[in-house]
Amino acid sequence: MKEDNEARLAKAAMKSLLVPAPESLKANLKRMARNRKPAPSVWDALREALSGGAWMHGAGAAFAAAAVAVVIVRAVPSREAAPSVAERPVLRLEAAAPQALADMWADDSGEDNDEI
Amino acid sequence: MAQPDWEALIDANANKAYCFAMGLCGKEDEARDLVQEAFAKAMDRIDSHDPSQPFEAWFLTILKHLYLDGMKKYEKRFGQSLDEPVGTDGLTVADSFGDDRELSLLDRLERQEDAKLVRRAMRALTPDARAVLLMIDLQGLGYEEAAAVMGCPLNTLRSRIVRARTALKERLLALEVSL
Repeated sequence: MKEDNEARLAKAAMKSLLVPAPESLKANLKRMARNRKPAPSVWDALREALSGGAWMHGAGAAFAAAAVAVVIVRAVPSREAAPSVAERPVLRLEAAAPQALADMWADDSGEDNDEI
Repeated sequence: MAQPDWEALIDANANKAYCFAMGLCGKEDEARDLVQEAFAKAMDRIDSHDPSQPFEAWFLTILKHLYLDGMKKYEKRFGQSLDEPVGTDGLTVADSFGDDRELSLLDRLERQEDAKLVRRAMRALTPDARAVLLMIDLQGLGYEEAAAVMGCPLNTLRSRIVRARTALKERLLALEVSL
């Protein structure tokens, strides 16, 4: 019974100490919390970007598909790049070469004047 | 470890922390400094908090340690104990005070007219007694949580709260006589 009274008295005494924290103190504490928040590192930002939401997976898939398409297109030789136009004169020259050489040597009788 | 939402924790705990600090120090400016220092330390050491345990008890432990450390430094510097009773009226209140006086005091306290008287009485108690009273009778912490904060076994805590309540009652009655 004595203990009960003492507990009741202590509780009543403590209740009289109930005071709200000053608003300025709360504001100070919150400012302190904001100032102490560490700036996100480059790695954290990268990690966060890579672990994005569903929309990020969609964007990633689209990017991958585009990259595959570019690789395929570059691997197939295009018609415009065919060497036909560039090489034809060469082929013609080669074809003409035996005739030109034949003319060149036709009048060579082995004399000194042949060289002039 | 990810940082908790400090602003939410401040909203949830600032009032309790301030009451606890006021009960320990008895002075507004000291209580403010103590709460700020305790939050700063909590922010630095949040990695040591087990998230499965309540934040409040962990935080009150920090606050109590800071207060006791501060007292030790003060005593070392000035060679005077902050626990010494103030005034000339000691704790020698006779148990002969009648129940009617106790009940009248209780009545007044329940009408919350005696915050000053209670603060003076609290200052005469030991820091541990103050802390136990504040945690159990003001903050409403359970005995187990309070024992964890005090770093003592449950049975020790039980006997401490009984002794603290008795000391507070005796002190309050003594102060009432001296008024």
